[in-house]
Amino acid sequence: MLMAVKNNLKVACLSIKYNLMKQMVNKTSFIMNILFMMLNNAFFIIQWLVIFSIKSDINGITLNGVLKLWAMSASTYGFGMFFFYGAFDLNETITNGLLDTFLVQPKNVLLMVATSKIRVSAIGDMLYGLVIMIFIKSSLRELILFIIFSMMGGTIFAAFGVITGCLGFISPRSDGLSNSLISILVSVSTYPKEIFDKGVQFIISFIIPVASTVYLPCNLIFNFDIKVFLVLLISLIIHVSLAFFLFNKGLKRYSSTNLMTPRT
Amino acid sequence: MKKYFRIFEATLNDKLQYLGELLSKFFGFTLMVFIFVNLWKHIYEDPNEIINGYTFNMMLWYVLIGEAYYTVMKNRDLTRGIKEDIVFGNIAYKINKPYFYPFYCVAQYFGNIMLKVITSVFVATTLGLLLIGKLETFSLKTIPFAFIVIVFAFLINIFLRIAISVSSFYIEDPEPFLWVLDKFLLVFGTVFPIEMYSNTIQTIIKFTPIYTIVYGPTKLLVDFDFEIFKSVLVAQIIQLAVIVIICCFVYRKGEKKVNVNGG
Amino acid sequence: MKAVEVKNLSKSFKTRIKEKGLKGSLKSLVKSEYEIKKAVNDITFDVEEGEIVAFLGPNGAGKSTTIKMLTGILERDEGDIKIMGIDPSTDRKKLAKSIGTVFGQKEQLWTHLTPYDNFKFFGSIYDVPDDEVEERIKEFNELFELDDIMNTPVRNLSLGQRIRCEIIASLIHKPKILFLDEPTIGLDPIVKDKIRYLIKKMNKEYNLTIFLTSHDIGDIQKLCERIIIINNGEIVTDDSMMEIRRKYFTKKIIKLRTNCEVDFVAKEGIDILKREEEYLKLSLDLKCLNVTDIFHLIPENEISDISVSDVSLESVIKEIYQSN
Repeated sequence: MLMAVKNNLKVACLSIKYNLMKQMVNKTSFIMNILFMMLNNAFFIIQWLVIFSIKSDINGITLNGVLKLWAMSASTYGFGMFFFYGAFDLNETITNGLLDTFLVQPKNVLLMVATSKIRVSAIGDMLYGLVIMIFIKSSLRELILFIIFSMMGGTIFAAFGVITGCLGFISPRSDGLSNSLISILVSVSTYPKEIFDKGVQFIISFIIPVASTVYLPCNLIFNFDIKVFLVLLISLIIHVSLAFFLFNKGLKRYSSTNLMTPRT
Repeated sequence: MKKYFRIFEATLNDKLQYLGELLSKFFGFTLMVFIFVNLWKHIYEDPNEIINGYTFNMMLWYVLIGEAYYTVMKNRDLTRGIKEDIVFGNIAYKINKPYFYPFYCVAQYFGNIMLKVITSVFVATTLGLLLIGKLETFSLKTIPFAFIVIVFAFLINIFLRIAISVSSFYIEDPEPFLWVLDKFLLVFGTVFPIEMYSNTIQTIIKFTPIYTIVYGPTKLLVDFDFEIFKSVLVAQIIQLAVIVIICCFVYRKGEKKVNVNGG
Repeated sequence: MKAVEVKNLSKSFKTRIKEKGLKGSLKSLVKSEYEIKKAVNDITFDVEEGEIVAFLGPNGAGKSTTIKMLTGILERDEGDIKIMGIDPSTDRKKLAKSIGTVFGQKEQLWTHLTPYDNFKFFGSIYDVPDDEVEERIKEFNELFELDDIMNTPVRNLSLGQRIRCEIIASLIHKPKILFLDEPTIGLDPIVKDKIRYLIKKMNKEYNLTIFLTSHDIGDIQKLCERIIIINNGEIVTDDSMMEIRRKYFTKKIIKLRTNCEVDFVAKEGIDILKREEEYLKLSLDLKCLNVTDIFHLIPENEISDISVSDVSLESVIKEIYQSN
């Protein structure tokens, strides 16, 4: 059993490695993608600078707080998108019948699909998070916690991507919905929860896992609390289990197509 | 001309298949508006406060309409399609056809966005009335003027994006440049009206597509001013001429570079 | 143990129907209409280990659906499937280790990697120990003559070279049965022959069962000992090549060149397929006449050239497709 898990992870890592090698073939494009993503994220600082120039304190939120949030958000997103990019366009993969290749291989289909692609710009996101953390002069302990929580948050994020992607098993026209749900998670996570009212805060804590992926980890880094950490861990287990469960259930309904892919 | 209309019709037909997908695109828009309404609620402590010439009501409507534009403008499918056509060689089949590829893309674009535009007007108005309330400074008389500016805005937007995408002939991936364009448009013209920035920055922005694509149309709908209308229109005409010439030039040069792999 | 056992297999699909044009698109926004199509309808067949079977049918006949159910891609609605004694529904991973697949239109290889790296990767997927993978790569290298291309990235290889690599990648774990879907599509005649030779060799050396789908008559003629034809979701033919010859190859095609225009009237057992001034193409039914009877109908001295051939397998298969 453990051997099987080890083998699955081994192939998953190989898949990520080969994808990375493939992307690095064009060095200029590779580096440009990363730098542009970092620049892309930095743009939002301008947005906040303008806001803070109009009003320097918004419901207790400060620029420093926003930077920490951004760092966590970018890093979590980056981790999830880099290692498990296949989880985010799962809906299209299902609808276009591209699961076939993975179904005829003796490995866990979901893990293989999730690691079948990487997103180079996500490296930019992860780096950006680190840069911000260094910029705000975090301690070594905080940096280590930051990395660990990025990994946990990123995995929950990917699991959420899978859960929404499974809508593709139900309807071929649901990719809009899947993508919308993911974008809610991504968009909201860069805004402090203080700007929302209680009702919304409930939704983003328990339905769309913004709290688990970004808010909670962000707080934990600077104010570690074992109880909150356990909540995070439980959230991780629930999301990942649900992802696998729904995906395997969905496979029973899978109907592939005779799509011809170009030989490139 | 007729063939471009057929392309427009075929694309529109294609898009109608996926109304569900369309509506969910506006989900993202609704989301951003929702977030900003919450954000600005905390910035405008007093709803009667005026910040840089904008009341709370005007500011929210500006963001709403700006975001609606931004959502409709992007059309990633088209730009990705152009990049893939060039990188994978399908462009060879399109060069053979009796149309000029950039104009073909423009016809496709309008087919793509037609439904989006109609939906966005509906969604934006409904959302605005629900979340914000009536736009106090709005007047129906301004619509014909705004319409002219909007059409020019769309044209500049698409030619600019085509020009960037067609650079796939030279560089492998023009996506980063499209990102940068989107970010500039978003941060400097959509999220905030340009009045929020210092005078120097405002002057610079007036020469960029931000002024003509996003700020101009949005401002004129929220708070119409004839002087601004004239200024935007002149800028639009100049920018459109420049961008069309650049676009066609980049494309023509690239056409000669077509190198399609054998089987 | 049989390689493939299929009993009463069925599968249906639900498809949306839409009227044509813009009006139809608008209509379908409001109301969706569906129809249920039975793609595979109660089919039963067996394949012994070591057999090379052609699985044919016109487009839309249910071929791909059947293969996808056999290989564990699709779930069946009704019936039983056992591949090497394994049920694809319940033991997908176990099945995956016993089968190899080459889908001509879907590439599995990493294009930026060399064939060597690809084979190592596939070895990992199938949990084949490293030393065994090396051994097999060496084996296949000799057989498939890959020395020149072993270290060239796949994207720089020709189609024929890629297919060879795809086949090896699908055999790296020594499966018992190989599913080939259009393996020679797009290949030139010389390469096609080479691929067919290699497939036949695999079958002989490793007792590898081959389950082949192809629209290429050459593939079928040169490789297969048995043909199963499916049409409209049902099996319409399941015979060995010999049986098919006996049942369907009952006519001879005779082409004649004559010295002058010949007055020839068709009679029972002879059909005129083509007639020009000094040329005749006839079809002769062996159930009524012998080939030599042609000389009773046309004087020998008026014939300047004659060729006698079998009906083509292609026309036989077309006939079978059309008669159902």
